[in-house]
Amino acid sequence: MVVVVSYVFVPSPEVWSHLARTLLPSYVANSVWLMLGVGAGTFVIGVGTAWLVTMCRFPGRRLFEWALLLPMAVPAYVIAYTYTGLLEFAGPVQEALRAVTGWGYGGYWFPEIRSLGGAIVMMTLVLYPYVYLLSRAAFLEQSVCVLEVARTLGRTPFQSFRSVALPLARPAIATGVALALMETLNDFGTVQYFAVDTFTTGIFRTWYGLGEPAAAAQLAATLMAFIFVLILAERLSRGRGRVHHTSTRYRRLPGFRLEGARAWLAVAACAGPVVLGFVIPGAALSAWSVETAGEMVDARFLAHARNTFVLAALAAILAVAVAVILAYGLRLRPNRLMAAAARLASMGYAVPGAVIAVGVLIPFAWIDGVLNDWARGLLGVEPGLVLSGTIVAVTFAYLVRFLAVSFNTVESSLAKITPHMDEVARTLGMRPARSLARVHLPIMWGSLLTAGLLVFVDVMKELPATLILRPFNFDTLAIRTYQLASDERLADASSAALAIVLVGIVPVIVLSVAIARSRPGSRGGGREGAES
Amino acid sequence: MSQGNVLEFEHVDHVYDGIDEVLHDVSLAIAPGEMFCLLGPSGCGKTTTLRLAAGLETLQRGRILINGSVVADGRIDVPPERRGVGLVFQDTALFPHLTVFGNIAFGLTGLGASARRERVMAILAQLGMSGFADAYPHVLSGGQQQRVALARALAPDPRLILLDEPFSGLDAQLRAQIRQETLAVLKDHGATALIVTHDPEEAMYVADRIAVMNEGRIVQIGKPEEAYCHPVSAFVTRFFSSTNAFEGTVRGGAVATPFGPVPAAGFADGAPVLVLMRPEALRIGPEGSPPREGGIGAARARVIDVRMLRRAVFMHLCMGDFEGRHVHFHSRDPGHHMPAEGADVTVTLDPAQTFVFPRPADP
Repeated sequence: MVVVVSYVFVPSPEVWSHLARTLLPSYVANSVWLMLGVGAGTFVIGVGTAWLVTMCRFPGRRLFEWALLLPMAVPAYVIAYTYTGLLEFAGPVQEALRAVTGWGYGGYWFPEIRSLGGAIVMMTLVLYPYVYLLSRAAFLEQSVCVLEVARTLGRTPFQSFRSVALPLARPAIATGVALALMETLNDFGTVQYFAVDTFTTGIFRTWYGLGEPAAAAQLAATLMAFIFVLILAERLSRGRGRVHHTSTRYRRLPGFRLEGARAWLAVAACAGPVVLGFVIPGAALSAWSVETAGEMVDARFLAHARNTFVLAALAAILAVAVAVILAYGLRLRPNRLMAAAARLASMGYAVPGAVIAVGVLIPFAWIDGVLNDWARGLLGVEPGLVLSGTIVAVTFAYLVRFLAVSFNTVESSLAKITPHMDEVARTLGMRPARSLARVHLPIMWGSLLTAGLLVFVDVMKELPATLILRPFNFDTLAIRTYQLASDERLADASSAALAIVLVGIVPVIVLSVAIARSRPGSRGGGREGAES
Repeated sequence: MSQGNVLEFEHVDHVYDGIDEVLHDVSLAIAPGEMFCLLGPSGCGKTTTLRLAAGLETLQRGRILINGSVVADGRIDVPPERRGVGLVFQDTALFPHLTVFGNIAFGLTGLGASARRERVMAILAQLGMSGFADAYPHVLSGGQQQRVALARALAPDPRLILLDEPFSGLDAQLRAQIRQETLAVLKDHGATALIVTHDPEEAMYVADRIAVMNEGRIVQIGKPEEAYCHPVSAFVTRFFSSTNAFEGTVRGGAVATPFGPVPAAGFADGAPVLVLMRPEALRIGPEGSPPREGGIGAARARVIDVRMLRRAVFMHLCMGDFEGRHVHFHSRDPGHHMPAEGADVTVTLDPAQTFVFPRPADP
């Protein structure tokens, strides 16, 4: 991050002015439209479905509670490839249409999926779960009493939703939308494939096409300004909208019973996103995989799977270890420096993978250069690339980007352990490091696994940083999917894509179980229970 | 520094970053086998004192000694794991991932497996919890958890055991029982204990000596009966029980009150004073009865309100006008005699429960 910012001051005037004149306006316009579209889409779908499944009763509600999270398992680029395969001119949908109507080429209008609008729809379909997840958690936390008061003051259920529940949940909703937008800006695979020029694709093109790292870094810095505005907006909305729950009584949620047409409308509203965001792409991928598995699941596929596993596991273990050290250090010495370090470390999630890749590659390449010069002068040999272009660089980039994921999980789990526990352990003869091993880690074990799992899956899906930083000939499943899709071999890409989606489902299950337990009053079992 | 004390504080000062508890010139010494209680309202510095003794806070100024050797003086700072103190919290802070056995054995690091087992089982037997060795903390009741926390602190045989509001988390009936048990176990082990509490009755029950703290200072140290019967300040008097307050001026070695003159030895003529009378100091008799032996006066009062509170009868009394002031008093009369509301009674004041302190002059 620091590197990216510092490169803003490196002059490369001709490239930059060229960019500014020609491409920058379209990067900005496309990125802004994309954010507006995805923001509005995720807000409507996320909040709407969250309200329906939390507060209303209709057939299939319990199924939708977790099924609505499923699209999260599908990376945006995978759903983009899938729908392109389904909807393009030679795809099954248009062929069926032509077969039924007898129209020929050019004789009818069909929406072009590979467009800005298509990108907005694709990303909305897989990113709305962020908003759904957080607003549902907020609705679950709300005391029903305030809603009941609103009803007795003469509001209809819908009015009390608008005037009470929605404002109370605003901070959570804002966070959810901000997360979705950060993912939008991070996306590379979709916009690149749809030929929608945004900042991420611009960074790639400047780096590889023009060979201008400085200009790429400057683009990255401009993108960071967007991200910064997003974070600020999210913080501000949280600060102003500080919500205190005035009533601590929790009762069963009201469960407005929907019947007849309204019930079917609710079912349709919830089923729509799930079917479009998960069932259809999942089914298409499965069908194509079955077709092509014979030739595509070969030794190379297995090698890619192994690479993916090694990278993801390595990054997950590192991210959890660093998170534990940071969080425990913050607990032992809660001074400003440690707090700032932790904050800074957890900012990485907001930074797009492409930006991190640029930020990692520049200093690593420099260190390699210095190292090689030095080795040549001293020993007469060149060790080659030690850091950049090796597994070290790509793992480091993952660590920067996903440390926030593990840190937040570890920190909140650590915060649940009373400081008295530490103090008792110390008076019983344990130094802080031993107390970490004998008291804290065993208590936090479950959360550590969760944190590792989340990082594992995120790494598996990650595309832009992997694309820039991976060692030569070291491909992962995500890279394979991307490359085959770029070659228009969509069906051949399906087995790798399907593997990513399947592993991605695991944290979705973990998340939905965690939410079910989170509601006060619903005993999730576990050891904390049964206090006097 | 005198030999033989388990814990000594010498002129300890402590300031947090401008907030919360502070300590000013705290000095104390605890003898072997002594139950020593720090008593005071929340925020008075008692918990900070305990944490300084354990080494959980870093000493700023002064000196702390355990068994005669310095553990903290601003340069030396022996970490908690090497101070040999045991710690019991109100919330018990039992390790949820370990069984009762595992919790108690946690601090027994220097022993072999069989010696460890023996020691843990012996302590469990003493607490009547032999059957719970393999249970996890969350299945235990509040009282049982408190016992395990005590056992865990006692197991390594610490030189000093520190208890931070150890009984506050328990309900009233259980509290009395656990308090009694804890005291018996501590005495049995010959342990030396520093106990922090805000409950005067608890302090008087468990302590050999009490240090009353207020605003970061120790205002009185002594045996429970000394602190109760001879409080050194209005704060101490009021902290031990509710009181009736009456402001007056000393004339000829006494203060004029509605009951009669209350002796005020040692005060100069004209000194403004505060007279504090415990509700028990007001002895109630039928109207017209003679003054009681050793009591002050026989004043007439009207009963405004009367309530039976288990062991005593609580009355709100109006004594009419006195020197231009309308005076009301509360009384707490042992026994079960209840006069009717609106009836007149005769009140005598017990000087042993009446205290005179200087007060700032009227503005």
